[in-house]
Parts: sequence; C-alpha cells; structure tokens
Amino acid sequence: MGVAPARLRDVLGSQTSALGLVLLIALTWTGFTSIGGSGFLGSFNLYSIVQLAARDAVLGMAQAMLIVVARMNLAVGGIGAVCTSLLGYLLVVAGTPLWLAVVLVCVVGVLAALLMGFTELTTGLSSFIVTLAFLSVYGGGAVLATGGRQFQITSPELQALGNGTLFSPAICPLVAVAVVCGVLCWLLYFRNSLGWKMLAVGANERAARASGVHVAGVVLAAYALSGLLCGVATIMNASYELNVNAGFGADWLLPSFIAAVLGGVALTGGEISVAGILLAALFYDSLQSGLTIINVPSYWIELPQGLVLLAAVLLDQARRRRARPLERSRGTEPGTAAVPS
Amino acid sequence: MTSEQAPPDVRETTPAAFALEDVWKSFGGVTALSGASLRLRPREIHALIGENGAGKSTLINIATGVHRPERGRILMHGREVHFATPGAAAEHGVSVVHQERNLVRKFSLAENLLLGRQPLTGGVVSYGKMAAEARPWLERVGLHLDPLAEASSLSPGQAQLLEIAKALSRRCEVLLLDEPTSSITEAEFEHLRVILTELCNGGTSIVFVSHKLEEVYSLCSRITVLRDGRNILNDVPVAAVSQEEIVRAMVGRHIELFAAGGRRNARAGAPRLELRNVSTEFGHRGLDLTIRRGEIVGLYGLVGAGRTELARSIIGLGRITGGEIVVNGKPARIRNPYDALRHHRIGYVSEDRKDEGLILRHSISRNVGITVWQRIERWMGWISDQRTRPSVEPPLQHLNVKMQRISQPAGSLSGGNQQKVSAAKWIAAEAELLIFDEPTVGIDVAAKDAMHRLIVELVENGSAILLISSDLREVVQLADRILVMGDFRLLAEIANSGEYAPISELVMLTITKATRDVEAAAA
Amino acid sequence: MRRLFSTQWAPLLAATAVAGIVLGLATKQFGTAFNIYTILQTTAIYAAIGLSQMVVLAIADMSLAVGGIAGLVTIAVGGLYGVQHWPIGAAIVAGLVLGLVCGLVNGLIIAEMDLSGFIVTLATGTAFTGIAYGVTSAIPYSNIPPVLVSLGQGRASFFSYLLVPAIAMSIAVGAGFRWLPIGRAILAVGGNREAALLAGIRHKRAMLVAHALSGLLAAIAAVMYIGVLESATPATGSEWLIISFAVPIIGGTALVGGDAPAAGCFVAALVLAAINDVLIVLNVNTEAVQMAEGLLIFAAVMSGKLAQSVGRASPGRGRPLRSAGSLGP
Repeated sequence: MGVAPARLRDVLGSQTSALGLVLLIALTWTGFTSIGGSGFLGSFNLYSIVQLAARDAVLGMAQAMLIVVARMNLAVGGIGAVCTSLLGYLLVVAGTPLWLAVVLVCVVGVLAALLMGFTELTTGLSSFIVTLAFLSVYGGGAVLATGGRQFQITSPELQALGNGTLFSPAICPLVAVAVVCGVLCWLLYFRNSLGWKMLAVGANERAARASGVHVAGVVLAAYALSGLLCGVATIMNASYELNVNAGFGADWLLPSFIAAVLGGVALTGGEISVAGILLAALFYDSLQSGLTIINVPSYWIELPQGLVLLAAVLLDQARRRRARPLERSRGTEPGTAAVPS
Repeated sequence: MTSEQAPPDVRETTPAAFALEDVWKSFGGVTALSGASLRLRPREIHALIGENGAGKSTLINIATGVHRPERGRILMHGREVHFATPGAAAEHGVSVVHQERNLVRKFSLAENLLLGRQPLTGGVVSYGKMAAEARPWLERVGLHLDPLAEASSLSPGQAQLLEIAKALSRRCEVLLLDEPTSSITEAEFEHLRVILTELCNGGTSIVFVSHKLEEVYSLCSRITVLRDGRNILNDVPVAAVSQEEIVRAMVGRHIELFAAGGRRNARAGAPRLELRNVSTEFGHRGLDLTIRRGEIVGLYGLVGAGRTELARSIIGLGRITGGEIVVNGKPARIRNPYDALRHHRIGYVSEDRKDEGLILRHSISRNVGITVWQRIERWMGWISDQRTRPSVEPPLQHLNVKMQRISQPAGSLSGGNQQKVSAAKWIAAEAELLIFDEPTVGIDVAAKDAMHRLIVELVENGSAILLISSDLREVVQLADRILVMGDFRLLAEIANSGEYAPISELVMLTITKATRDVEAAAA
Repeated sequence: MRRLFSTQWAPLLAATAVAGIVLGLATKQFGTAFNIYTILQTTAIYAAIGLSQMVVLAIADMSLAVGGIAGLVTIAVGGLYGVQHWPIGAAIVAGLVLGLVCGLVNGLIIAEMDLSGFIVTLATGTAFTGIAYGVTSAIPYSNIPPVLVSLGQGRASFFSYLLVPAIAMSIAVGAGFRWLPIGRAILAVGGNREAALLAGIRHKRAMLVAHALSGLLAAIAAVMYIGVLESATPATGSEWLIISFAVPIIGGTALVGGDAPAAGCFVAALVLAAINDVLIVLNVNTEAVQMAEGLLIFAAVMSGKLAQSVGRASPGRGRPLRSAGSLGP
C-alpha cells in the first residue's frame, strides 16, 4: 500500500468512533421520533437533552484526563459531593459572591483531586484503589459536614446559565461551557507539551520516565485537571438543579465512564478523542430522554445505562482487534509484525 | 566436542529426528517463511541463525504448534506429523524454551515445573508427590534446591535452567531454545553448555537460536542460517564455515565488521561525571568512578553484578544513599531522569527497549521528540509536530532508520531500527553523557554495526559514554577503559589495548578471583 | 505456629483483639453478648462479600458487579418465595443458580473479548441492578421466609448462626485454592498469565470459573443478608462496592493477582465489622463509617507495604530491580 492511503487510514482510524457516534445519534433521534412522536425533537426535549449532555461531556472529560495517563477516577462523584456542598454553603449560607464561589469550588475540586494524586504517588497504590477509597471518604465526609441539608440556590446568573437559552430555545448555555472545555482539551492533547507528555505517560510510563519526562508532575497535573473539570461539572449541575445537597455526585461515575469509553478513549491509556466524548454524552442523554418519551418506567432506567456501556466496550474491543490482527498472534517476529504493507 | 559424536557419513543414513520441510507461512500479507527447512539429527545441537525478521521465531512457532504452516511438512523420524496446538507438539516430544522466563513467582519450583499437570491424589493436588516428581528433573539441570522453595528466589540463569528442566520433564526429545543466553552471563553459559551437551549425549536433539556466534562455535555441531524466510546455509557442519561466511549468509552482503582500533589515541578531556564513594539503595558501596569527555568507559560484569542498577542510580531511577555525584566538576543531585536530562544532559538508552526504551504505540516522531519538547515548546507549552521536525528528523536520517514515514508507530519497526530510534532521542536531546545499557542485544549484525559506529562518533564529537554490555567482545572493541563489576563493587579498572585475548583473560581472571575471594571469606 | 504469626493478617487480628478487650472493659455496651453477636453477624456478611471479590482478584481481575448480582439474587429469592410461592429451598437454589449465571456472563464476556473486568462488570453490574429495580418497580418484597430470618438473626449467646455458612465458605474457598487443580490454575493465571498459557492451562476456563464462583459467593451473601434485613430489596448490594474491596485488600490479597488468602479475608471482615460497631456504639453517623472504611483500606495496604519493606531491608544487597523505581518520576 502506498503512503497516501496509509495516511488516510491514520486520519480515519482516529475518527471512526466519532463518525460512528454521529450515525448512532442520528439513528436514536429518528428512532425515537418515529416511536415516540415529534415530542422528542421538540425544542423543550432537545433543551433538556443538551442540558444533561453538556454536564456529562464535562464529566467524561474529567474521567478521560486520568484514563489518558492510564489511571482512573472513581471519585468523580466524591469530589462532586464535596464541591456541591461547598457551593451550596458559600452561596446560601455564607453569601459569597458568585464569582468567588465558582473560583473556590474549582480550587477545592483541584485540591481534592491533587490529594488523591499525592496519595497515589507517595503510597504507590493503584489509582483504582486510591480513588475508590477517596470516593467513600469524600462522599461520606460531604454528607457528614453538611448534615444532609438542602441548599436552595437563588443566584440569577447561575439560573441563567443552567435554565436560560442560547441562540435558540433548544440550546442551553451550558453547551457553550462543554464546548469550551472540549476545545481546551483538544488544545491540551494536540497542541501542548503537557498533553503530549500525558499521552506518553499513559502509553508507556516507564519509557516516558526513562526519557526524562517528569512523570510525577504529569500525573499530578492530570489529577488536578480531572478535579478542575469535576468542579466545573458541579457548577453546571447546580445551575439547573438549583436545589442541591451533598448527595449530588452519587450517580456520576457511570456517565463519566460511558462518555469517555463510548467516546473512544482507550482504557489502556495513551489515546484521546475529544469529539468522541462530546458526541458520546449527547448520544447517552438522547437515549435516556428517548426512553422516557416512549414511556419506559423510571425503574428501568439503569438497565440501558449498563447495556450502553457494555455495548460501547464490546464495540471498541472489536474495532481494536480488527485494526491490529497481527499483534494477537504470539511470536510474530518484530520485523514482520504490524507493518502496513 | 565433535569427538563425542559419530562421524558424518554414518549419520547421513539415519533419518532426521525432526525435520521441517519446505515450510511457507505469511501473516496478513507479509511473508514470514517461503520454503524454509530445518533438519535435526538425533543427538545433535543445531544452530538456527538469522537476523531479526528472518523467520526464526515463526519457524520455531510452527515447529511447536503455535502456528500452522500454509505449505510444507513436519516429520519426526521420517513420519509426517501435524501439530494443532502447542500441547500436541509437546505430546510428540517437541518442547520450546522461550526468551522470556515464564515463571509463576509465587509458586514453588516444583509447581512451576509441573504447571498445568500437578500430580493429584484423589482429585486434589499432592505437594509431596509434586516435590518428589520434580526433584530429579531439577537435579538433572544442576538446580540443587528445595523443590518447594518459591520461584521468586531464582536468579535469571537459574530461571533459565528451570525452564529447561520443565521442557525435559515433558519427556521431550526435541528441545528448541530460543535465545536462551540473551540475558545470562558467560559463566552461566558455561554451565548451560555442559548441561546441554550432557542432554544431547542422553538422546535429546537440540535447536539453539542465538545472536552470539561465539556460542554457536563452542556448542553446536551443525548450522542453518535463515534470511527472508529462506535457507541460505542449510544444515552444514559448523566447523566448515567461518564466522565471516555466517555473517554474510545472514545479512546477504559482506560487512566489514567495525573496529574502533583507530581512535585508541583519542585524548580524553575534562571529567564529565564523577562518582565519589557512592552507595545506592541496590547495595553498591563506596564506588569511585570517573567518565571523561571524549571517552568510552566499558562496564562489564556478570548478570546480577549491579551494572544496570548503577546506571539507573546515576540517572535517578534508583536512590543514591551515600557519597557524591559530580557533574562537570559541580556536585549534583539527580532525583529522576528529568533532572538528569534537564540539568545535566545525561541520557540513558535502556536495555529494555520494548518496555522502557520506546512507546511502541506512538509515532517515531513522538518517540524521538519526547526529550526535546520541553526545550522547543513556546508560551504555555504550545507545541506541534511541525515544530519538532527540525530536532527529530536529523538524528533519524543520520542513523539511517528504515521507515516509511515519521508518523508510523515505533512498534512497526524492526528490532534494529527500534534500537536506533531509542538512541536517536538522546542525540536529539544533545546529551553530553550517554549510558548505553546492552545496546546491541537482540538486534541484527548490520544494526549492531551501526550502533557501534554511532557510539564512537558520539565520543569523537565530545560526548562521554558509559557502555554496559555482557558482550565482552563488544566492550573490548569499543571501550577506552574497562571497569569490571562484581557483586555491586568495582573489582578492577583495565586499560584496554583492544586485543581481545589478553584483555578478556584479564577480565575473567578478575571476576573469578573475586568470586573465589568471596567464597573463601564465606568459608 | 510461627507460620501463623508470619501471615499478613496476624498483627491485624492481634490489634483488633486488644482493642476489643480494652473497649469491652471501658464501655458497657461493647462487651455484651448481644453486641458481639451483632459484630459476628456483620462479620459473616462482610466475609461472604469479600470472598466474592477475592476469587476474582486472585486471577488479577476485579468485579464491580458483586453488589449488582446480590441485588438481583435478593429480589429473585424474595419474589419466587413471596410472589410465585415456590418452596423456600427451590427459591434459594434458583437464586444461587442465578448468581452463578450472572458471574458466568461476566466471565464469558471478559474471557472471550479479552477485556478488563473493571469496565465489563461496571456495565453488567449496572445492568443487573437495573433489572432488579425494573422488575420490582423498586418495591421490596416483605414476605420473607422464616428460615432465612432465623438464620440471619438467630444466635446462641454471642454466636451468630450466619457464621456457619461464612466459615464454611472461607474454608471451602481456601482449600479449593490450595488443593484443587482449578484453584491452582486460577492462581497460576493470576500470577503469570503467559506462563499459564504456555503450560497449557486453559486460561479462559479459569477466568470463567473465577467469575462464576464470584457470582455464586455474591448470591450466598445476598441470601444470608435477606434474613438480616428481613426484607428482599433491590437496593441490596448498592453499598457493597467499598466493602467488597476493603475486605480482601485488608486481608492481604494482592491486586496484581496470584494469591487468595481466605483466612485473611475472614479476619479483615471481623476487623471491619468491629470498627463499624464501635463507631455505631460511639454514636457516630453512618457516613463516618463509610469514611472510615475508605481510610482503613489505606491503613491496611500501607501497613502491609511497611511490613514488606522491613522484611526486605535485612538481606540488603542484590535486591531485584523490579521493586525499584516504582515511585516518583
């Protein structure tokens, strides 16, 4: 095969998940419209879909930050609980100005994640176990600290962000937040040396370290960014829920993984697809909303969540196997393996 | 050793114990074997030689049932056999010992030996029977250890012997050894040689794959050389071919083996790196060592002597627990390779190319550029592949890396080219002190030669080199001084005259004397 | 005897025993037969949950579906007995078979698609929970078989009857890993997958068995818990994730696979149950219990690491390279 087709395949290969997701979304939308009627594509329903999808996309990015460096963040919800409690306290009890509350929430998100990062680096435990333990510490701690109280947020700016409209009645301003986060993510991974180092650490940590990459610094940066995005997600979440408590975040784990994995972020680390995360979140929330539209009882809502994640994982694995058939046959010689001929 | 074997004319009449005839195999359109053959007589040690990618591993995988040939036959004692699985091959008495040592570290020696077929009493595993069954096989390869000891306590050489014992215990009559010596010492090789010769006299036929021609000459009676999936030398007596002929058969052209003799009078400059009374977390104590600008210091020792550990401590992959490291005359504290590269321009070409040298999934460009990103990035870390090109491309061109494009994954390159990429990143980084750890293990002759030329060239341009190698010939060929390490101490420093015989003798004497001293002290 | 004390969990047991005695003397509530019975009842449930996770950790995998399977099994047993009026024996057997099948599904997907258990069981666990909620419309079954209640809440002085199945499970699992060929195969695959493959061990089968066994153990835990709660609710298992990891890890199971200390698991369950109880006796919120469990995982793993490094420091030289440089940049 010549050079040009190989290059084409490089480009397409990295985008197939995004293309597939666009198709999936189109399929979901037409499917639910034909079953559930035009209500699905009505501006009211679309609005609520993108409202949720925007938050889930940011959660997906928060998860992806650590998946890229071959780690994971089981504590997205734990940090969310801490940040939500803090936001509620600052706005409702302490009467802090909104901008300051937003900054403080993001700072605390970063610090909460950094603490996990430091714990991982100093103890040498896997990120799985560290973030699992912190999930219970943060989740329990937030409820303990607030005594489970409810915070009714009244900030008009926050309400406008979560419940206002942008350009059209079908678009929630939160979309802009998600897109900005997405663009920044893209710049990070494709045009920034920190992002490149994160990818290198994720693909092969030992090699990155031996090549003079400051692995501890890169890993801490990944944790910090993940925490920052958790803080952003908290604010997005609070902006449309308004009546918040420390229980928020308890159900964040699944959407964060669905958006990242369905979006094509390899669980083995070292790969990213920002467009995929945004589209995956949109697909996921379209599906959720569609099921409600066609009158599936709310008790059944968890089943499709699990099935979507399972399908995403299986599809991703099937795609990888097709892309690299040679690597699976053990003992092919280095010279012959996986050379595109 | 040829005296122990029957004369060739008698042997020609006996059918081959094991033979692969006219074997073809391809993977996804890439031809690995096109009509390769291997003919193994009873009781012989047969060398199978070829460059990386020549088809050796594929041939071995077909011989042991991992792959099925597309065409061709497998014969045992003249009768055709088919191996559907590795298990089927083992049942026919064909066993393989792979390069990687495959031990379950938490299991005992005996259980590792009998893995998957532990002896049972009434359906449950019997540890007593297991020990009794394993003991004779362990002793046969000279492992006089408690069969129920944990396998994690073995040295690499012992682990290799355990693998061989494992193969023998499957009653194998054909034993394939895939580069068994790539990480063991010369002393361990001697031990292995004695055992293999014994096995061979006891009726086992052995295929020996190695890159080290010296070993082939000292161990094997006949040789087959593969190139591009075909036989270039087919089953000829080792004694009848010279080393140059073998090399020519492997690479397909005559290669003037590089000798660094010409630069012996090169003058070493100011000290680049000094270790003063250094101890490390690995157990080095009181090391003193100086590497000067423009010189190659060879570091030789047996495996387990602490060479790699020293290198890792220098660049901050291990902890220095005492003493002083001085770089360019100033005391330095190197906590990690980041410090080493950023503040002191010290680089480390790892022996573990696949796990530590390269990021196989990422492009060549990223692999080479990783050391320079920090230097060329703009405000807030802004960078692009375009910007890394001027730093990345020259070293790749200079080393003549054979690639289709710079964006192809490093894992798609041949072993030799991967090693070149691994070195190229340190050239791009403009490292002033480079530590090469086993730079030519597992790469072909041509790539090896290129690496040697590179090392000499770097030194001539003012770099300092610490060369760690288990290949004494390579050390003698390249180094200005040879440091001999044993048991985490520097045993001696030998000025290298470049003559292999006297220097190698001196080195070996140093090591054996030190070993004897230790034994005497222990007694 | 010396071997007993060299095990990882021995200091843990000793510390708990001492703390228990001190607390028993210091407070009135802690040392009562009823309170000890409560601790042992919780111990039994924790041990069952922990064993369910341990058998997959042994093969260097993990299961986030332990809770999901338990929820599904709970409503299956509750529904079959309470609504379909099956005999209790049949309902329990059906529940156990269901758990086994759920585990088999996990194992099948993981082994055949060569995936990590983490993401697969995150998905299937959610799906199992989803089915449990969907089928019951989130309403618990309250008609609970008296047999299960008398098992779950029965006691002879301080001895909870639940300890019988829990101890039996621990012994069976421990013995199985030590003496059964399939147990050795699971540990071999967990310890070094490549070596196991080359030795002709069918690793897919080992993976399948490990996950199926995990499903079965989760089902047993669920059946045990029905009587404790006196209700068959789909919410059973939703809080088990942390416990399922805390128990085997505190018990000394390596996350990298290759070992399965069932006895350690049981001791860890005892320790966690005791701490849980102390916090409740001291009138601390359940959220604090949740926090304590998280922190205890660290404490356990760190003390294990510390003991290891102290043990390793003495031989000194020639330490294997692998252990070096795992921290820092």
